[in-house]
Amino acid sequence: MPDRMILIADDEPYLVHSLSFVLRKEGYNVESAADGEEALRKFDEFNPEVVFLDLTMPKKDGFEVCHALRNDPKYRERMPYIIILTCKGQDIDRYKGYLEGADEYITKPFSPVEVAGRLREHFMGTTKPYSRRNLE
Amino acid sequence: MSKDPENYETFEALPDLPAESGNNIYPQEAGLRLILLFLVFLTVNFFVTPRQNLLHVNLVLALTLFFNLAVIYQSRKRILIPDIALTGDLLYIVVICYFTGGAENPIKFFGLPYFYLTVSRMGEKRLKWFLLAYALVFLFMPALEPHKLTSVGAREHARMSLMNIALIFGVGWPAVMLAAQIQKEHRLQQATASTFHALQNALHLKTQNLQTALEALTEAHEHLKNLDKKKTSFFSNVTHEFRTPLASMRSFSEILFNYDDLDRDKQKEFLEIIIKESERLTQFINDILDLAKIESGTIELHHVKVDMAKVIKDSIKSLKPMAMEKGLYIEFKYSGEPIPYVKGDKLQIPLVMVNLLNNAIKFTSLGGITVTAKKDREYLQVSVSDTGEGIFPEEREVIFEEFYRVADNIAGRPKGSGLGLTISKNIVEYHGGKIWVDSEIGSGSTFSFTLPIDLGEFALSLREKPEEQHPQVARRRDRDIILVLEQNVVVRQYLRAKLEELGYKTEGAVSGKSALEIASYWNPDIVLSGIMDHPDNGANFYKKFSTIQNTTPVPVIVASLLADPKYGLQLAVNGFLSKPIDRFDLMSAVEAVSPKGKGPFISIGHDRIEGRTLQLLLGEENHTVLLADESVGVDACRREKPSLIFLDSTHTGGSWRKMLTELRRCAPISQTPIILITELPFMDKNIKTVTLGKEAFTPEKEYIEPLLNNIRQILSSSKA
Repeated sequence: MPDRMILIADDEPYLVHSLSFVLRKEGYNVESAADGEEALRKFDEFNPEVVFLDLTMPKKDGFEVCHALRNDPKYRERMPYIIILTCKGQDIDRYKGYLEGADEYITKPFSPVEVAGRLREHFMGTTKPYSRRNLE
Repeated sequence: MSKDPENYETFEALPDLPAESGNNIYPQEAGLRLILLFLVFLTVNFFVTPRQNLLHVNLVLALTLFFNLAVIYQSRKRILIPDIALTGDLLYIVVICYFTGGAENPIKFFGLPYFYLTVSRMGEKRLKWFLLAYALVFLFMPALEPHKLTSVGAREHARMSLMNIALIFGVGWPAVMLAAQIQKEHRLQQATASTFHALQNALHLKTQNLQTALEALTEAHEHLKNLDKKKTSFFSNVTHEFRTPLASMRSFSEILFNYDDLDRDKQKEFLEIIIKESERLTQFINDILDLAKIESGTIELHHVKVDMAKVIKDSIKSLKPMAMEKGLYIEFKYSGEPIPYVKGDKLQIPLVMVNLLNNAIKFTSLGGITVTAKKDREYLQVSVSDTGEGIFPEEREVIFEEFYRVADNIAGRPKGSGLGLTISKNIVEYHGGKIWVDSEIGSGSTFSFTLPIDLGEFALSLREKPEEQHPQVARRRDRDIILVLEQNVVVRQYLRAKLEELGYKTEGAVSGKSALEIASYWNPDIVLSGIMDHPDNGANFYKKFSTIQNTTPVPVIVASLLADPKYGLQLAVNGFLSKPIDRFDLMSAVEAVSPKGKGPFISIGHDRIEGRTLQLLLGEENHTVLLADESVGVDACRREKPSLIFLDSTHTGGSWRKMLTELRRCAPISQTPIILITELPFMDKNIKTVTLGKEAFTPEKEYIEPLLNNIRQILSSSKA
């Protein structure tokens, strides 16, 4: 399996800890960020293929990062697969998330093993991410 | 909210359109004309001699006609011309004299003024008949003057009389009618103009009222929108705090379940996280429940005497291990003075103490924590100072808000739920105290809070163990206990001193709320109450008081007293009246104080509706009621020397006491009976009021006999 990079942006250290543990077990490389600005910085630095975004982060929040990643021209070439991981579970938030261009929306508490499974599917090409939607 | 839509002025009623002014010429104007005409008549009589020259007659006739036409013309231009009408009258006189022989004939002399006088009082219809009658008189005038007939000739005289009729009907009558018409139109014009102005004013007032209402509504709307926003953010905070620990617990549990290749250390690490997170969640649930309970205010906190010294010492004891772990000291520094008991809830007050100490330890890494307690008038102030990292000045107020967490720079994430200080604030404020923080970045913070002191006994010494006070236990009844509920501290102290001098045991209370607590603890035999101010006007107290009684209801005596440093206590009020004002009660109250003298009644400090009600009801009995604002009330009384004064204690916001004192000290009116308007529920049979009644106020000596008699009577009858 090629080296794949995943970025986790969340201000809760335990969440980062548990999710990165599972993802590393799966063989991915994991980087983490504790706020929105750090998330974008690390994105520039490491170019992850998948980004996990928490919505309630200091500095830039999840929606802003998502919006930037989808609308800023400098990211057009390397659009990541965006998964929103959040406590906000209401329909309006879910709707807003998809509107901003997220590929998936998962509410906490969640099962990290299930998430790992979803990622496997994604990398096998059976999902239709945002980056490929526009081309068709 | 500053503008309460319910409180502003009711709309002014629109004024009615003016009624049609009558068909009459107004008496005042006619009177003036009359006098003028009379004088002119006299003058003209001298100069106009009757001639048989037809040319003259026609000329004068033409002139009179011309003048009457001028009157008509002027009236079209809507100019009021009593002058022209007057001129027409003059010519009319001239003509009459000319034809009726002037001074020779005294009947005509009086006839003309009489004509005008009567005409001015008449309506249009009657005028026609009168003129007819007048003409007939002139017709038959020759009959009364036989000598004229012989000299002139009957036919000639008849012709002259006919000319008179022609003059009267053809010339005089239109002139008179027109003058009346003009006046009527003018009055209608004026009335219309004034109605128009009144309408304009009313419209202006309505617009202003609507504007005020709009502003009030906008403010209310903004307020509600803010509240809604706050609620939403509170809700999302709560969900976040619930889901986050659960997420960690779920994730790590799953990891432990699915991965078998974890080493023991890793396993223990993850299990510890799960345990910590579940504790975090539990703590949060407890906090949020506490907060909900306190904020909703439905929990009945039991107010007993709390030994603050013990609370402080106990909380320090329980948190000492945590402090020692960090290498910090905790000490309780007290001056030798005894620390008074505090009125409060036994379980909640320690919570505040523990929370503050907890925070102090959390945010301090070097040094320690010092707790101090000192008395500040009626409150006990407790301060918790630490040598920790301090708080930014802009955070000083917001730190007490829900979920606000000071970011801990060292660990990188905020600790706790952010509810601790909020809960503490709620508890302290519920007890009537305040909580605040003084701090400097880098040198530490001092959190202080105040709690009301129990006005009973003081803790004798710190070494003594405080006894458990159990409210249900019947107290030793060696003396009767009187609970004195009076807002004014001077009156309360005087009264308590007086009663204790007479051998009673007393307890004091400042407000309805504290009275309830003291009463539930001490079970007094009588409650002696003054008149309290809105909003805690005591109505709530009286309602609740009967519900906390265990056996027989405790009688309440209400009296309004003044305290004079020289003479002592004086019964100040002659009668009470409770709102809303009832006709029967009002009349009975007025009769009971029997106002003497002819002066008007004065009402001070009422609201509009009440003032009008008083005026209306008392007006029916032919009493004049003057309404005065609180700012001018006393002066108005001094000026008008009323025979009865109504003083409203609900509307004036406490200044009524000062006014009462001033009125009683003002020599010419100090004896005037005063009826105090309150909101007390006098219908309750357990509430007895003590007033002066018909007796006059005695400014130079103490007079509370009726009050003491009431007390003695009640106490002896309850024992019988």
